[in-house]
Amino acid sequence: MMMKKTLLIALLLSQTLFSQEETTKKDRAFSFNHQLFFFLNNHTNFGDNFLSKANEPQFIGFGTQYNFIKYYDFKVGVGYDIMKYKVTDESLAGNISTTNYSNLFLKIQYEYNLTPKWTVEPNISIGRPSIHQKTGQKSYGRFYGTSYSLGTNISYELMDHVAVFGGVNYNYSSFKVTTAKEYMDFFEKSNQIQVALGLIFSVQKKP
Amino acid sequence: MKKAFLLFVLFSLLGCTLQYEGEERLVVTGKLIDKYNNPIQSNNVEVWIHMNEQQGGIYPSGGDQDLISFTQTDANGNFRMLFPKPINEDEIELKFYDKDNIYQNKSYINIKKSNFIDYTFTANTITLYKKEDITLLKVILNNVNPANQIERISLIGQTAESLFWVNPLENNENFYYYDSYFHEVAKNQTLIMEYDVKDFATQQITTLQQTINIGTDNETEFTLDY
Repeated sequence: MMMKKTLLIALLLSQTLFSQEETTKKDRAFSFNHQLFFFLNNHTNFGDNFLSKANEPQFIGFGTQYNFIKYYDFKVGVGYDIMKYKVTDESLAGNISTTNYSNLFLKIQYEYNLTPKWTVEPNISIGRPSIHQKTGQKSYGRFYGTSYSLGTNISYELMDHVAVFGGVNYNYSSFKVTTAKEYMDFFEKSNQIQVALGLIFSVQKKP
Repeated sequence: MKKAFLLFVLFSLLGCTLQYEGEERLVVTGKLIDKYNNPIQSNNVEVWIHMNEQQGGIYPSGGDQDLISFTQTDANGNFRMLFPKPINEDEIELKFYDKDNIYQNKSYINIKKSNFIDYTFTANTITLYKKEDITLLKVILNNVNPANQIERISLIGQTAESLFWVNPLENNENFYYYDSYFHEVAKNQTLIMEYDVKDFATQQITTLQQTINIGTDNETEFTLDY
């Protein structure tokens, strides 16, 4: 009888413990993980295309990103970055002072902790870039496209909730522009290496 | 009411300045040569967009214009310019001028978007004359028969007009030739002037030709009796 009771208690305990472990695993698998990025960035364009041949980026652009979901070590966020370009070839871009590149993107990052302080985060993103040409307040129209980006960040935790990070990524954009057939390719794409440096503010402490 | 007011403000603003469509790009190409068919290098080329002054109507405006693109001809005399497509323009102008003041200035005016094929306006090969090689031909129109009226004049030869109308004026119906006719032409050539004379007594139109010898003077005068 005693043996039976012991066995029953053992089974119940194991079930309870198992359930707790499952709950903990679920909690760890999916969570709301709030992180806010502010960064300065720099674009290097290459290839035979509009941004590369007819424009020159200013040294510093600006961006922000908000991560809100974490699934295992994958983080999902949305962001926006902007870079102002100076028109350098008026015969290709028009007699317009500036070309503003902006991109609204959705990013997935994989968090890999090298040490308690250092973290590497490879990432991919898809976005909706916009090219807006202006002279002063006068607009010369916009065109839009789709961007695909692949890169990585490395971050160092300065203190609880605050980290500094640097990132580099390759960004390919495909724009929707209609023009003479021989110049379609020139306007339709851009190739960039983007370098970013900034701060990350996290709501949750790093485990 | 609020919406109507906002729409009015929006349309008023749109009516005042030139607007552009960023997703569409126009191309202008061509080549500059001199009278010996040699390419002209480093000549300035510009594209201007004009919106005429709108009188009366719901949205009067003071007009607007933009130098939308510029470049220089390359070693082969070729030029090419790309720019956003204007939305509310009246005409597009292609302008050539030489900063060294050796060659004549020239403008292709009244270009319409309908002149662009596959988003491209091709000006082909354009001859520019040196300023020193141009004379002003002044034709005195001497009306000897009061029943006659000149309805058209054209020149066959090396003409050096500074304005070239890609499309004629829209209201060209009441254009008549009266006392004189002026045209810039190249020096040292024999020109043929072709003209239509309308006889109001018979309502007949006759096409006639006249040969004009152009010398080396800066101004050449010729009297045409009709």
